[in-house]
Amino acid sequence: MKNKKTMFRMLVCFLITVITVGNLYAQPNKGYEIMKKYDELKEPKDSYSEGRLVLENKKGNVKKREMLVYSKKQAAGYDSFFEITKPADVAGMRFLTIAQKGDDDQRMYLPAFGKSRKISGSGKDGKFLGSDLYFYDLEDHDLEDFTYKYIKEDEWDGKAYYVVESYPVDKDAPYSKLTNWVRKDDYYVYKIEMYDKKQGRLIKTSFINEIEIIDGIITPLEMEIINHLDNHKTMYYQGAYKINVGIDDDVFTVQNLEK
Amino acid sequence: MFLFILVVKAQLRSNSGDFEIELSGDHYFQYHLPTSENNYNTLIKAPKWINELGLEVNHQNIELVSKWELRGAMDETGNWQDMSGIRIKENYLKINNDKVSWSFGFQDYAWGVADDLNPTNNLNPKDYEIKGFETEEISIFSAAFKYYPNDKWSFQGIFVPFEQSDVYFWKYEDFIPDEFFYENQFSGLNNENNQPQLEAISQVKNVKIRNLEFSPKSSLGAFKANYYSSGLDFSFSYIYDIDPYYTPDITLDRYAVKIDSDFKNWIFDNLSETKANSLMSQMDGNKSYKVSEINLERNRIHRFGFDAKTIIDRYGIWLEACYSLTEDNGNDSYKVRNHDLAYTLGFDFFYGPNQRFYFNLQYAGKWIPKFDDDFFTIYKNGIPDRNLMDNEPYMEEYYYRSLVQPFGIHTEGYTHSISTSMDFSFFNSTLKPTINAYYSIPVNYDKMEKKRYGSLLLLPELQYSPGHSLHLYLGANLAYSWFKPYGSDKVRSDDTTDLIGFLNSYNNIYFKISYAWKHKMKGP
Repeated sequence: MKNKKTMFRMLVCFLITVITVGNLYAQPNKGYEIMKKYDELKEPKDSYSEGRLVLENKKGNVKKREMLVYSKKQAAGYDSFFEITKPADVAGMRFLTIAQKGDDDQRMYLPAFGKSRKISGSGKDGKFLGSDLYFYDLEDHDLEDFTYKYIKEDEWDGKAYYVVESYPVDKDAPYSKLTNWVRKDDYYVYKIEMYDKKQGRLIKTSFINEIEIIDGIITPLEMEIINHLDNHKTMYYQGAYKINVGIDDDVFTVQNLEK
Repeated sequence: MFLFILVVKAQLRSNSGDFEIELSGDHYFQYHLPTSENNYNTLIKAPKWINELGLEVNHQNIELVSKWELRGAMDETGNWQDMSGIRIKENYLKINNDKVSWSFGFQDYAWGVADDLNPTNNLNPKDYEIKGFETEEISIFSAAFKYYPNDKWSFQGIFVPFEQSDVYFWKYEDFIPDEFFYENQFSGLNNENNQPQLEAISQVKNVKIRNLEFSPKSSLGAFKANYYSSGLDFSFSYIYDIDPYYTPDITLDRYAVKIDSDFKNWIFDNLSETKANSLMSQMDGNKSYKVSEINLERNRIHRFGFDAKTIIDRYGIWLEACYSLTEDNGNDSYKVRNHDLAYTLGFDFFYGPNQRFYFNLQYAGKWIPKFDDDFFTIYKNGIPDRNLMDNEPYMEEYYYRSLVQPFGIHTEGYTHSISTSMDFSFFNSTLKPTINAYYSIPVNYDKMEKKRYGSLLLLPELQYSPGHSLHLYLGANLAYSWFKPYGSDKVRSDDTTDLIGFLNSYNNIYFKISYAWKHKMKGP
């Protein structure tokens, strides 16, 4: 099975995913079985949304970014197209990601330069638009990219959860471990605790604060990421969310990027 | 006194179906503190206020863009009016069809994959007036199409109906020595060898700029094929271009070298009759050539370009090159500049905590086959042989060789350059220091004129971004070109025959404030 899920979809579909799963054939266990159920949740073929990132530092200073986000599932993963609409000094910047079996093909269009260019990756722990999302969080990950361990059942915010730890196989991953809180009644991941690679410290916690079920698909509408080391917080709000609307493949082309 | 900059942007939109209007503004105010010459001479150093206002209308597949720049600057006279004005920026109509886009009007074309050092990017004229250190492109009146037959290829064609020129803050005429137009006369005897001595008599400096005709004869054509893939992007391009630099067309005038009347009287008053007659016969009937007129004109040039870029691991790697063929087909005429090959090879990557830092390194070069590197070897001290001044081919060659290459900034046969761009991001991009540096070393030049030690362009900047599209900058524009004149022991840093050295007297520290706004309204 090559089913891929990504943190990227947290922005695109607001699905938290990345998190885990080990080699299902070699070492199936309860943790894996739980994550497999999460992995098998119904997904959209494509989606459109108007997203808003709100970045807040420890002094309470706030920066906002608004964007249009298109995504479409392809054989190698999700293609995506972002366009920044606010603030004015970065508005018009566009990003195109074409999913590949290896590294994705990423391109950027800067209105000031008037041309698109192939861009090098910002590394696994690079921050997406200055937020608390790492580029690693936005990558497609195979189930085989993690090993896992079932920890316990627990309660949080009045609901019952399975707690499953996942361990990235990728040596370049910025995390040593992720702790996933999978709700028992829908097998959706509502909380992730992320630990750094070098010292094993808790560096970030992400929460899904609000969801909506559209055509049987769990769709997050509000996500929060708290960076414990930087005392920084990122909120992501997803508006005008539409799924399975038949987004044309032409959206994910260099022609559209340069339009 | 430090200045401040105001930037204002505004947008409006009206609604009607797919109809969309966007208004935008980008404004900055900049104050410079000159470091070399303590004046505000030229727009580069004058306090200035630049406002770009834009209107963009989209309706279905039609796009209308109209951008204008309002410029205000105060020069050393303290007069804002002298350097203020309105400039046209991008103003075009674009129609996007299924696989083809058509556009018509004043447009910007950005070719090439390298960072700033783009040898293939030659379509838009350059404006050296505002920044000098980093040229701005002038939108060019043109018609264009871009065809995307599939996801892998695109083809672009551009037609420019008439050539549009660069904007300089210098005058080409100033680079032509006044002495070329002078007539000589015998005015005395040389104390050392007792031979008649020449004295220059100033004449009118007759230099004209022969503007290109406003006709299809001065049109440009360009074509580019682009290939895109996950592994490699590359492109081939061709421009039927016009050289942005002038080439002189020199007219010579043969004249009789006169004998100053006072000198003549002195000869007959002080020398014996035999000696006087001998000296007079030596000077009588001497002829020489001087320049009577120089027309500066723009010649055709063919540019063949190539670029490629790939990503390996987290490293971006690129190559961009352009071979320019001038009208000197055999590459052996001293009246026309030689062909040249310019290229840039570079890579970039992010690093540091959360990959917050960016590093970019490029090697760029320029090769001019058969570069004329012995002018000062042949003409001692840059002066023609007095005994050959009545030899028309000799004098014609002298005048052309002294001007043709320098006018095209062909100052050496090979140039090897390194450029680097580094930016660092702190406090979630609120504070961002950047360093851009460029250093070039000349090879294969005439060492009988001077020994050159390279040129450095250094552009450090600290940017503070409190948010809301407001940015404050503190930076410097610094240019040095080191050389030691032939026979001298002193090294100087202001070699004005080099483009970077020419900017030395414009070195400055600046403070800038910028603000941008944008407002869109969509139809229901």
